[in-house]
Amino acid sequence: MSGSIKIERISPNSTLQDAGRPEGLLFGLSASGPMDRTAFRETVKALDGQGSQSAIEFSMLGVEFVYSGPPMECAVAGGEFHLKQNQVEKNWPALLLLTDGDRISITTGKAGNYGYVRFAQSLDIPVIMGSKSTNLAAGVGGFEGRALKQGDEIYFGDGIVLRQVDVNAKSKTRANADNIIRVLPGLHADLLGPKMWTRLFEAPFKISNSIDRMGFRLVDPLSRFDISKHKNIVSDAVVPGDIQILGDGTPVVLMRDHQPIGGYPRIATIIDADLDFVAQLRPNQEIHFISTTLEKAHKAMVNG
Amino acid sequence: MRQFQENEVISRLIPLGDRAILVRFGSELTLRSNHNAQAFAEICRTRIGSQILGCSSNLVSVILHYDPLKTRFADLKNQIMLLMSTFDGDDKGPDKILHAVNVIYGGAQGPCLGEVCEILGMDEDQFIRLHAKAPLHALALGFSPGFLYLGLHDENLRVPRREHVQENVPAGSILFAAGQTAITSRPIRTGWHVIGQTDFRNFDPLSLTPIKVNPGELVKFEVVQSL
Repeated sequence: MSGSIKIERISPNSTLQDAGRPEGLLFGLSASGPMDRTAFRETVKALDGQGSQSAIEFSMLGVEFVYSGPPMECAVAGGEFHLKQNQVEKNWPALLLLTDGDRISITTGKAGNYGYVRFAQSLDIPVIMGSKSTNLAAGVGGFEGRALKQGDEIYFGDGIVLRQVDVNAKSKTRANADNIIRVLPGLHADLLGPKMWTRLFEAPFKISNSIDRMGFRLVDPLSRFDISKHKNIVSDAVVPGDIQILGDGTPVVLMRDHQPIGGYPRIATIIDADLDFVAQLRPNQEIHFISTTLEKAHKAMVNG
Repeated sequence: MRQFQENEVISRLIPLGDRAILVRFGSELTLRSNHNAQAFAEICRTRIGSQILGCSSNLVSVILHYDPLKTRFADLKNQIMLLMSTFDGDDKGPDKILHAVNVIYGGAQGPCLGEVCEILGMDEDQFIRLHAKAPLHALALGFSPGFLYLGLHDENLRVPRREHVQENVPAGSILFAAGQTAITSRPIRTGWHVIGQTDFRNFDPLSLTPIKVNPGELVKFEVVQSL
């Protein structure tokens, strides 16, 4: 089977992602993978568990592309975007049948930062260190190690052995009207002390305008963190969901393209089951933290 | 010699979020804690590799990633504690792989060298002699791909990080701060001092072995005038 898509318009920092590159850690590279694994998996389900292992992850302004090739299915999901197939409005999310010359247009909708397009056929993209995921911070993987841009043409391959799609978690994102996000104590919670830990829950934060695959900076109206006494901690391992406090007190939620080792203190870690939800929060939205336990965090991966 | 006493074991094993466990070998960076972390990471990969998603060593710790839906935290914790209780520390000895790396110190390639020498109260030749004198240990990878932490320098070669972060520091920069030297493989922003430049790159994503220098190996700087 052959065919391709041509990108006519695409939101900045949109990338190709598969389940991620856990092997990367051995080389000083974070695992990358989809920002919203729940939505990423929805596109797998829509295609009955078939389909390419990698998908286009587009950011808030969406994507427009033209398809050429024999009829093929494609699934779209994530956030709430507007979708048109050849000028005809469609519901979101959707399973579409593409035919030669079809133009798919996805634009900003009511909610969400990231959406996914997955095709029935695998993408002809090289596997770098076991994965097709793009790590933008490192310039590795995906489409030439970079974000997709207008004019890019992605071809469909065949004869490629697909790794089973597994986003290494079955966590559910619960419906959450108040943006209440559960956290565990971070690596440096003890070091920072009970006062700062308590203040984490005192009042909500806001998502800032500075959000990307590396991290979401938060706005703290109370300027509640002072790490001036903790500038010389030994750099240590970072995990997605870590809430790191910068030198000026700014909290940052570290995301999929985080640096593997960091020297800023981490006060808390967002639980796995809530991290997809956070990735879809837009600038200016409020975010509240509550503390939970490891046992509850593991239960939440199954029950939401 | 056993590295852990019974009552020490628990305090060194820390859950990191809900999908990783960190085993810490100290809160200060020493060669001993660093080598223990590397040796223990290798033991974990060999002995319990099938139950974890991955495992790597950091400066003074080992991180183990797991899938809680496949491996119960309590079970994994018990297994790690068992490995810790029989861990005798790094026994690799002094025969480590040695890599030679050519470096131009100072000038346009190392714009912070003057400042570093001023802080240390020595002239540039003196500093270069001391800095390149002995092989350095590869302590860890991280921060950015192939980014190599090397150390540790003697007390008389320790300077703090810079006040301000420098943007667009090129690949192959030799960085210096906090008793360590680092080699970048990608352009980065950094608060470390840039003291030189090399043509050595520790990261090639297209290679089957993307990393040339791994933690636990040695690097000797060769002073050159051109690359």
